[in-house]
Amino acid sequence: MFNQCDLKKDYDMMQSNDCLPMPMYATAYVRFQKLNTLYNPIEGLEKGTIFPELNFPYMHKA
Amino acid sequence: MDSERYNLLRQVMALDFYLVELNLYLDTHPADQRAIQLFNTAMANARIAREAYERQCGPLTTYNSMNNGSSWQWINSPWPWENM
Amino acid sequence: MFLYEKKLQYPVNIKNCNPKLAKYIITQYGGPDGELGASLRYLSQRFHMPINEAKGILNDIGVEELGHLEMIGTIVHQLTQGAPVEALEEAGMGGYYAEHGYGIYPVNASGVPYDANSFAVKGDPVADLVEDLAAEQKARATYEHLIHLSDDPDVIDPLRFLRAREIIHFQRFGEALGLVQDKMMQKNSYVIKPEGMCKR
Repeated sequence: MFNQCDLKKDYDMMQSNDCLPMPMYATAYVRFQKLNTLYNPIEGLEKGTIFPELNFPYMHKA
Repeated sequence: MDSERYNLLRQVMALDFYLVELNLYLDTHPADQRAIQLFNTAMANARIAREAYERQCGPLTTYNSMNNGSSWQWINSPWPWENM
Repeated sequence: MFLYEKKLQYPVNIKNCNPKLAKYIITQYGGPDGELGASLRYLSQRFHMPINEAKGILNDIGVEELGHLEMIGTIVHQLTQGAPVEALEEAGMGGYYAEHGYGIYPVNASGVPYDANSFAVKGDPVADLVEDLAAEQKARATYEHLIHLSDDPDVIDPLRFLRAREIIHFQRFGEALGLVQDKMMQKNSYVIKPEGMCKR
């Protein structure tokens, strides 16, 4: 259903900010990584990544 | 299993992997100065580890490793898919 | 161009033959969500990307996947080499043995040879990167399935490593997608503005 209110709200925001509402519809986003701490090389190799925030160890249960 | 060879190779693997991870990070964060510094330091360490391995165990590349010995060392076992 | 280093990215040292596992794991060599398909997909998509970050990441992940292909080939090789033919047959690899012996050939877990239809190159940067996100999730899920099927720690170890790599790749493709989408919004080439809205 086309919602006139939402459209108007977006339109007003765009008029004032001169920019599109973020995040956009119909658009996929993956959060951007910010560099933080790192594992040392041996640890990193063992884990499969040097970035702790990207380490999701698998607890393997079927 | 030759444990000394294994340890030297593991060092090279670990340092090269560190470089790959920074490489991929820098591909999408090309302006990250800290990452560039980490990469350059890791590159120097990786070079040292590679030389230590190659001195002991033979060449890792055909294009960037000297051939030490009177025969072509490159084809010698073990190849990466063989048990160490 | 392509250069080679005489080492695996992560060690594979399997002490016990297990053709039953080999039959499953070979899907990551020649199956729809395997490393061969991944390398071809990324190395093909890289030609028509609009920004350097995307060209770089597709190039570099494509290259890494070839190293993973080598690891999977190694795993299958070490699981089958030395096993008697009867063991291969019992594991359901009789047909494979008839055609390939103890050799390594790209097939899926049902023995169907590799099919390039398993990947797409749309020539559209957003479609291609979103496909890449899906591909990494499918690969990650496949590695989890293979880990469930394995009881040998020598086998689970490299599978665990390969699964972790898929998560990193997903993150990088996501970042590349964000950068591509930003670029396209700036250029107004992708976002179709409704009539009368937005000065940009």
